[in-house]
Amino acid sequence: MKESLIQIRNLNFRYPKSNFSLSVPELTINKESKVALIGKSGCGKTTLAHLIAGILNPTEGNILVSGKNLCSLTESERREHRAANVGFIFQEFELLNYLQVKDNLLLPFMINRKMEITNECKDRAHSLAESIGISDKLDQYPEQLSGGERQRLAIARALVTNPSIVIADEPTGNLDNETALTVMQEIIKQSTEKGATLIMITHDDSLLNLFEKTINVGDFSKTY
Amino acid sequence: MFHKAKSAIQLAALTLTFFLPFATAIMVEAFSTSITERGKSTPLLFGPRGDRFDLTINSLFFRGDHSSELSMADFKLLSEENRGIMVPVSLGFTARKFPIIGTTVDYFTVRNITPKLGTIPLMLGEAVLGSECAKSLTVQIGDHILTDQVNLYDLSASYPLKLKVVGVLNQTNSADDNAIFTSIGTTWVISGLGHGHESIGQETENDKLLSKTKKQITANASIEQFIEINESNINEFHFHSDPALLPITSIIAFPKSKKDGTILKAKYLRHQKIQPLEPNKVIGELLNVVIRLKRLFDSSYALTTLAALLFLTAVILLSLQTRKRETKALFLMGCSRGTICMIFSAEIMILCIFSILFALLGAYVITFLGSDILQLLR
Repeated sequence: MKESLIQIRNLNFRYPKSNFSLSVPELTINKESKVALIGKSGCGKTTLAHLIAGILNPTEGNILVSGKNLCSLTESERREHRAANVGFIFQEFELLNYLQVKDNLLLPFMINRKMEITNECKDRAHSLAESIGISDKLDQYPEQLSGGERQRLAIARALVTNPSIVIADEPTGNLDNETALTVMQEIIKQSTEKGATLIMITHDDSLLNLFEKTINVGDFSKTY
Repeated sequence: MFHKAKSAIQLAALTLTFFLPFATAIMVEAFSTSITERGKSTPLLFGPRGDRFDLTINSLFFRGDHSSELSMADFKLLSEENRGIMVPVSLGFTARKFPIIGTTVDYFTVRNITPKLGTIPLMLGEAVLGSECAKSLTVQIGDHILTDQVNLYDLSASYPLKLKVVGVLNQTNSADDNAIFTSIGTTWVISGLGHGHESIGQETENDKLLSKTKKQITANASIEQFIEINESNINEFHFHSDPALLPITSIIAFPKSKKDGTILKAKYLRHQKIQPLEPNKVIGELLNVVIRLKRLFDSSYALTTLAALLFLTAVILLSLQTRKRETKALFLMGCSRGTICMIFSAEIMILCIFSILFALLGAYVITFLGSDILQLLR
């Protein structure tokens, strides 16, 4: 049985001046598991993912990640926790076109002052680049890569800090079924290899069979 | 710098915005320094009554037309005061566009100008060139330069005179560097008040004469006029006038003491013909006008700069808007808001710093290239 990584207890969240609320009485996500967050648009999938990542702070309740209660941390501490432990894969990849591939890979280290770019980091980035097949393109810019290469670069960037959690926010949203499947398989493969827990927000029901657990966030949200 | 075209346009816009006020400030400063130094080095100036600015600028920077309002008699009058060194200056002629200054040996002494090559002019027809003038004309000692004909269509005007270059002066970083110095008598020859021609006597052929009596011989226009003064013909040069009446433009005075200067000035303050001036003060007045004009331009530049900065702000805000997703992604990845602000601020600061540097560089280059304007006034 896998150890639990994320534990949510009696979580309540509400955006200021909004009639939307999220209430999660209990939720557990195990280490190295693959979880899909599903639900109709506006039901709070991204909100829940952001709460788990420590971007948002719940109104009440607790979110424990690796035993650490995110709700007791300051915003600065939650940001540091996020930088070190959470990797993001965005729908549009959000690669920085003015940075070379190697700098995009190391971006999570560059933007956080408390994370130094050590030789170990560089080696890890290089190793990731090799594993995803773009090690010969490190001096190029993202616009010089193919669509598939850019996807793989975005995935590698999310994993470069060895995060315990990878949050993928609809990375296959704009893709056709065949490509979406390929991308998903790559994400799952890479996160499994790195021992990361994958939390993916998706509308695509055809991919649900790739996940161990599916959470319908709509069950936890209300709009007044 | 990834968006090269956008960055280049923003850089160019900012550089141009900063360039104008910088260039104006630097040029005005260079002009002020140059003109003030010249004023300070000239304690007193005596000239004909009239516009004091014209007199000062023309006398100190060798501009203006030939004037005959003062004469050597006025110079003698001032010299006899025995209150310092008086230096007559005769202006209004040029050779290859460079001003010719007719003066005495004292000019070089009081201005502390020494020849780098050759000598200062001692004889009629000799010239010594300022350092920049010599470089520009590429003449050597022993060469000749022809004075400029003022009016080609004036048949009665005197012929150009061939001046013999006898020296080149050391650089002084003043208007003297761009001038040609001769004796006062030489400028009188240039103006036609003196001339030299083949000897006329009883033995002169009749077709060269208008009339001939025992007492007087009058030659006609066919008599050969000399356009060059040399050792063989110098004795043929003469002036058909009382030397005391021969004209000068102004008199530069170097009083022995402040007291002597004050007495001289006071004595001529209400003189009908001559006005005393302190070039330093006159130039100060002129600079006040220049500075007031500069202030007017500055306020105009301030408005232009404000407009440019507002446009730049709009461009930056638009850029931030288009980079919202990038900002959000950075924040989600753990970048602090402060770091994001620093990244964008650094981009703007780099742009501003480089534009200021380029603007300053451009302003100095323009001032250097535009030094012709300053040289005209040196």
